[in-house]
Amino acid sequence: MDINYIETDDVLIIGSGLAGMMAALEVKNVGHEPVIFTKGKAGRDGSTVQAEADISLDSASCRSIFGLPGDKEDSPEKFLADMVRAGMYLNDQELVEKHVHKAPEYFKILKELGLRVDGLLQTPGHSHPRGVSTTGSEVVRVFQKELKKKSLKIKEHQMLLEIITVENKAQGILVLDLKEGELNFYGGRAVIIAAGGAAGLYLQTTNSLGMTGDGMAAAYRAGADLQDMEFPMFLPFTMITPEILKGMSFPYDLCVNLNAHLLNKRGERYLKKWDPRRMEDTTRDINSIAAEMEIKTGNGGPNQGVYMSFKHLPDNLLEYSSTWLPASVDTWTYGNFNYRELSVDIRREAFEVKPGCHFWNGGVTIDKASSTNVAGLFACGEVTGGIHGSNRISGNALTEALVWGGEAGRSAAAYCNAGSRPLKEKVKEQLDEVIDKFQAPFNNEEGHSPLTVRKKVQSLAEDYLRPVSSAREYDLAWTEYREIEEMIESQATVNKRKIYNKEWQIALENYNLLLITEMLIGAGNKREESRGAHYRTDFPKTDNKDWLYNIIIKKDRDNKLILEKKRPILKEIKPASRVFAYGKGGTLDEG
Amino acid sequence: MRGDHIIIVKINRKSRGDEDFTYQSYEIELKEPTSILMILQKIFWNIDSSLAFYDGCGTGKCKGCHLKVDGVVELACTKIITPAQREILLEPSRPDNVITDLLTE
Repeated sequence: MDINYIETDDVLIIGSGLAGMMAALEVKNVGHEPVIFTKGKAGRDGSTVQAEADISLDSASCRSIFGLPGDKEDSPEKFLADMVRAGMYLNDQELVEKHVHKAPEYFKILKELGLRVDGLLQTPGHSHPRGVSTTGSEVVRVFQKELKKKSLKIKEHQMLLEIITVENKAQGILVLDLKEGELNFYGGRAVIIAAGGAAGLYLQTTNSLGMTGDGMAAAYRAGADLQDMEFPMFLPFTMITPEILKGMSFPYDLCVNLNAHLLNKRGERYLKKWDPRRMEDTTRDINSIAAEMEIKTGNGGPNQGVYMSFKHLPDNLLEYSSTWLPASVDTWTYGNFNYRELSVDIRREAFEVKPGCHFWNGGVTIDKASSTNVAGLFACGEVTGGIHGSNRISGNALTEALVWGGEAGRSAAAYCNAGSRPLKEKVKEQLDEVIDKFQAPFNNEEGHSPLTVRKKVQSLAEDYLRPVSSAREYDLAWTEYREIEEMIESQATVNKRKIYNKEWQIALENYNLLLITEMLIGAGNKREESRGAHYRTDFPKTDNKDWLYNIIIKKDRDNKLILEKKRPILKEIKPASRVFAYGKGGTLDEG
Repeated sequence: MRGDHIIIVKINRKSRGDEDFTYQSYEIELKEPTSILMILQKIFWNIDSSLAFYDGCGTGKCKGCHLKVDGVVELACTKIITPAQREILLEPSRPDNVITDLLTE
C-alpha cells in the first residue's frame, strides 16, 4: 500500500464542528483557501450539533447585540472573574482576557449569519445571565449555509492519522480516506486542529463514539505541548438504563429548569455535605464529584447511580412541565425518546443517574494567536487547554469554538503569507517511518482484535479514571495500561475490506485513546490535590501553596512522555495561597 | 416489552461499483427496547465487524444515521423495534448513492 502525495496551497483544518467551520470562514475572509477534513459526515459528527445550547456572552453585550434582557452591570471583566474562579485559577488569564473581550465581535458575526436565538439563560457558574439560547443544529445550519455560499471545501470520511513536521514546522497531514481505504498525505501552508476532545474514551458519555482525541494525540506526536489533561469534565447526571437512553444528558437538562432533589440510597440529599448553600444548584464539578463519592462509598442505587427525584413537586406542576421543558416536543418526550415509556414516571419514581464524560477541559496548549509551539500548527476549540482551567462553566464551550476558531483562522491565514512550501523529500522520509504503524491493523493476518482492545481501554477508564480517584486506583490503572500496551502494536482486523473498514478505524483510534489514557493516569497521579474536575480521596483538599500549577505534557527527544509543572498565567484574579477544603476557595464566597 | 424475542435482520451489503444488491441476514436476541442503531452495533461488535453504518450522536439530533427500514426512511438511533416485529430489512436510504452497506454519500 502506498501513500498518495497531494500538494496544496491550502490551510488544512481538521474538524467540521463550530471551531473548524469558523476557522474556515476567517481563513477565506483573509484571502486564503481552507479545506476541512472530517472523520465522518460534515455537520453531523462531533459535539456542536448535539449542543442543547447556551452560548456564553457577557450579559451587557447580550442586551446591546441581541436585545436580550441582559444585565447592564455585567462586563467582560466579570465574565473573566467567573471563568477563573470556576477554573480554580489554572486558566491562562491572558487567553481568558482575549476570550471575553473578543466574544462580542464574533457574536455579531453570528447575528449577521442569521442565527435564531430563543432567549437568555443564567446557568451554573455565571453571576449574570449570559446564556444566549439556541441549539447546536441551528449553529450548524447557519454555518453550513455560509460555507456553501462561499464554496468552501469539506472532505468527509477522512481520519487524521498524523501531522507531519520538518524542523518543527508543520508540513501537512496524513489521513486515512475511509471511503477508499487509502492513506493520503496533503501538504498545506498551515494546519488547524479543531478536532474536539476524547470523551468517547468512556462508556458513560454524552459524546459520540468518534470523539477519540485524534487531534490531541496527533498534536502531541508532532511535538506540541498539551496541558490540564487530568481534568476531563463530567456532566453530573446522565442516564444509565435502559441501554437506549444510556449516556443521555436530559436528567441534567431537566434539573437546570425544574427543581430536582439528588438522593443517595438512604433518601438523603447528600449535597448538604458539599455545598449546603446552593445544594443541587452547585457547580457541575462539585455535583459530579459528590455523586461519584456516594456511588463509590456504597450509597448508590442498584445500577451504581444516584437518584434524581422530582417527587416533591405536585403532579399537576410536573404534567405542565412536560409541555414547556426544552426539547420536549410532546408530553414526557426529550429529544426523540419518550422517557415515561422507556424509563420512569417522574411523578412517582426517581431516575437513577450518574456522571457522564461530556467535555475535555485540557488539551493542546495555545498562545494568544491560537498557535501551538509548532510553527504553522494552530489549534482551537475543545481540543485546546488553558481557557477553562480545571472546570468549564456552562455555555462556554461554544464561545470557545466560536472565538478561537475565528482567531486560529486569522492567525493561520497570516502565517500563510510568511509560510514556506512543504519539503517533499523530508516529508516522504517521515511518511516512510509511520506508514507501517497505520497499515498494520489492516495488513496483519493474525493479532489482537481491535474491538477487544477498545473494550479494555474503555473499561480501564470507567474503573479508574472517573472524577474520583486515588494513588491505589492509578496503580491498578497502570497495570491494565501495560497489558493494553502489549496488545496494541499487534492488532489485526478480521475485516479485510478496504472500503469503509470501521474495524481498522477503531484500531487506529485505539492508538490515540491509549495515549490519552497514559496522560490521564500520569497527570492525575502527579497532581496530589483535588481541584475542579479532578478529585482524589487520598488528597481531598485544594492546595494553592504547592499545586497552583498546570501540568504540561510533552515528548522528549527519546519520544518519552514527560510531565512538567508550570505556573498558570495569573493576572487580575489571584487566589489566596493556602489549602482549602474541596469546593471552597473558588466560588464567589471564598471559604 | 415483555420477555426476550429473536429477530432476523436482513441488511444490504452492496458497495459502490457492485451491479446488484446483495443481502446478509443476522439473528439477534432482544431483551429490552432496542433501536435499529443498537442492533447494528450488536452485529458489528459481536458478529460481523465488516458491517458499515453511521454511528453518530445516538440521540436523533445529528440526523446522520438515516436508512430505510422495511422500505421507509428512518433514523436508526430513534427507530425502536416493537415486540411484533420478527424480521426487518435494512437498506441504504439512497440506493443510487451508496458507499457501502448502509452508508451513502
